[in-house]
Amino acid sequence: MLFNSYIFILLFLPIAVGGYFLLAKTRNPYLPKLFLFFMSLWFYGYFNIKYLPIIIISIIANYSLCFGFRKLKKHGLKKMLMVTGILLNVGILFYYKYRGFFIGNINALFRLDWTVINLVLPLGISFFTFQQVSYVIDSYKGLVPPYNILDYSLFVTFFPQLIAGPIVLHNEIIPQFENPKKKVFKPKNFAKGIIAFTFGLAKKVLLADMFGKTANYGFSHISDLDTTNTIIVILSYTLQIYFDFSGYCDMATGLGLFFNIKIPQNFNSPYRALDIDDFWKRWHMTLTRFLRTHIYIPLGGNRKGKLRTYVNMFIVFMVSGIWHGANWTFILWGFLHGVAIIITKLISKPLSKLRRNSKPLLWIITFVFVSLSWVYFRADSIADANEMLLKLIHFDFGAVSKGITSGFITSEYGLIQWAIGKVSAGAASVFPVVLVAGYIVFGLFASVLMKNTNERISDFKPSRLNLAVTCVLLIWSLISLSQVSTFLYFNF
Amino acid sequence: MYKRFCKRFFCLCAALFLLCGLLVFAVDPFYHYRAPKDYTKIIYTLPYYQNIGIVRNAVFDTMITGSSMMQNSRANWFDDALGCKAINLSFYGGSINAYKTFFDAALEGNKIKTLFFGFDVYTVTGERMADVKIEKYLSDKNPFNDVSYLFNKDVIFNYSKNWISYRLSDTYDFYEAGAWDSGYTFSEETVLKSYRRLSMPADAKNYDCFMEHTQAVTAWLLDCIVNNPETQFVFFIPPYSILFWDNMIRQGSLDATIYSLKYAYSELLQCSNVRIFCFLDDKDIITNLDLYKDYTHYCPDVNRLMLECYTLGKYELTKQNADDILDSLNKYAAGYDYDGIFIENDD
Repeated sequence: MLFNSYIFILLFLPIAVGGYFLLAKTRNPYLPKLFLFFMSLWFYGYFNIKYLPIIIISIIANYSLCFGFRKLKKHGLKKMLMVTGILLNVGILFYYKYRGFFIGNINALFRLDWTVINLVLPLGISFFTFQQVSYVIDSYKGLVPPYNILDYSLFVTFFPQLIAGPIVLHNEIIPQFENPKKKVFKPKNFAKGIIAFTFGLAKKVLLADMFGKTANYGFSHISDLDTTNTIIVILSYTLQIYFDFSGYCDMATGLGLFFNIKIPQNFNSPYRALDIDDFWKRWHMTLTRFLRTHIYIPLGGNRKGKLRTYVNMFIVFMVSGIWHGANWTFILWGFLHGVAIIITKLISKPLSKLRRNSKPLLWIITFVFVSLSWVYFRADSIADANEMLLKLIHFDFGAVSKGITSGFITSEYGLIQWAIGKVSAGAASVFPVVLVAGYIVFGLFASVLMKNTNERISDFKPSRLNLAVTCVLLIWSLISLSQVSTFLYFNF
Repeated sequence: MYKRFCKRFFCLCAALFLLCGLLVFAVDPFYHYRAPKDYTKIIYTLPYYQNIGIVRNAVFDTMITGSSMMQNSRANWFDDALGCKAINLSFYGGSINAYKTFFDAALEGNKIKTLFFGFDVYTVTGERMADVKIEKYLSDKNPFNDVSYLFNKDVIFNYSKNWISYRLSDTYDFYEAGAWDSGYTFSEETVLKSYRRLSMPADAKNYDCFMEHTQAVTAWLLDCIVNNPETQFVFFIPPYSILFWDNMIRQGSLDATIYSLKYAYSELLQCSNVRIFCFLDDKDIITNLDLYKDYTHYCPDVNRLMLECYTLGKYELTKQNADDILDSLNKYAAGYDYDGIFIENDD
């Protein structure tokens, strides 16, 4: 089930919230959690029921392992158990996510013909794997109190963060489930939840999906693009990925707040960043935290000299790249960011001077680098990405193509264009280009200068204006969830 | 303060949401809930979304359907020629998935006396057909998934707008609404310009390579036919231009296609409520490229001619003649001087 679906918003969510607080009134500490756990399984299994056994087996296996840490006394055995736990989690992830990629590369390298079976990736596997790895390591270190299996299961499956993060830690979430004060309906949290959920939904449905159409068109028609259209496609994807992912995380924040659960912030206006180091402190913050805690620091962090620090950083970014997807494009993307962060560290002194005097210049350099590196992240192959980037230096500035503008002419804008056309045919013909430009300018403005959702909810005070804006955004987003395909069958 | 915000938010959202739903319910542009008693008042803009609602809710006794090959058959020609109440609900692209869902709905109420179906060669072989499904919220009878219709911005903004502007128009004609011919030029020059001839003929495919699809489609049609003995099923096999057969040969599909057609037609002709009119080998039509806009699509005169042939009983396939006609078509198509068409035009 997706947050941006009718079944989730109109059926699942009211049942989940209503049922949770109704059962909380019984004062039985287990009932509301059990209910939420089963609701989360419904949420997860709705997409594909075959995924349910995978997550359930994974939960039981990890919980049993960590139960073992408490029983075992010998350090060596404990360590072996921890390694087994990590291998088990990473092994499942590898089997589903990377097996095809691995076999494909082996075949290419050794000219073999091993069969590649492309398995359907269980939803959110990268997220719940990292979440459980972190739990196993903390259990090994003795940092985990003896949670019961229900608390642990709910920690892994809690639907707001299950399929797209943030990657939460047990000590952030489980104590909140156990707190009886959190089981009382709180209008303040609920109102903030409404704001976060609605803004997140609007970011996903009204912005990301719109930019997505242009990005999809551009990345599937690279050879047809000139420099103008390439710039629009790259900017569109840069904005799509931010509004999509951060919108989903905002919805998760809002959903958590409905249950009085505070979910950690995952995005802090990353496109405001002035260097790559700053960017990674703002983008997918819980992933950065995980990689720092469980890879960078165990590798020695910055404690073993400068060279080793840079190597450790580079390793972290390579892992980040491969975590994002099983393709060389992601690895190259991680590589580019790894190199960029090392350069940032190497020039940290002049950079701090520039930070004081030339913020706009630093912002432009960072934003351009991030946007260009997204091309590798999105393209189907490195060759495609190179082809697109080369278009930028062709300096072939033509008109905005119809394939680019058509993604933006949704029915509401079609209606406006129709109305303009009744007055002036000329104005109606330039309307699509104005719309594309308007969306990109607004997207940049919203992602850089406007308050992000966490800032918005922390300052939130009810007013007629935010009531009206939130209502309109929610309804606009809701009626955008279902659309009519025009089915362009030009030649019948 | 926060409690009041939440209450107001829910009341306002519920009101706006209901307003959207009521607007779509009242206008009902896809005729999902009701259709006008006089079906000529139907505002027809989007076959894949409207056909299901219209077939369920409109009152008529004769239905014409098929792909873009049938879209130019005006239903009032059938009214005049046969004294019936006909409606044309064809699907551009001719998706088999859409046909299946649509036939289920159309035959449900037992109200169709005669069903004219443009039975494309591609429908039989499965080559080159669009794979478009009719939305479930329109085809099933689950009222809960109607949310996708009632709260759908495209329906609200676009189709409600079309509906209103058509309603206010004096020139709207239901019989013309589904036809596409007005925007096209029919001429040999246009056809040759758009035809992409494969440079080298491919090796001939196995004669039974389409049979899995053919058997499935035939079984589905037989099921419809046998379960609706009161309905007369009339199959029109459209006359594609001679270049269609050139394309078949170049793709190596000619023999396999003829083999599949023979199977499908012979199976269907076993049923007493089936008549098949095959125009594939009408040489006057298929070799006259001025009747076409591309190598398959012909002008409405051909649609009218097909109806006339039906009334006169011409070009009807029977159990006795079907195989001979298809064999002679195969021979004609295989031996035709296609190069001559291009040499003539190069000159």
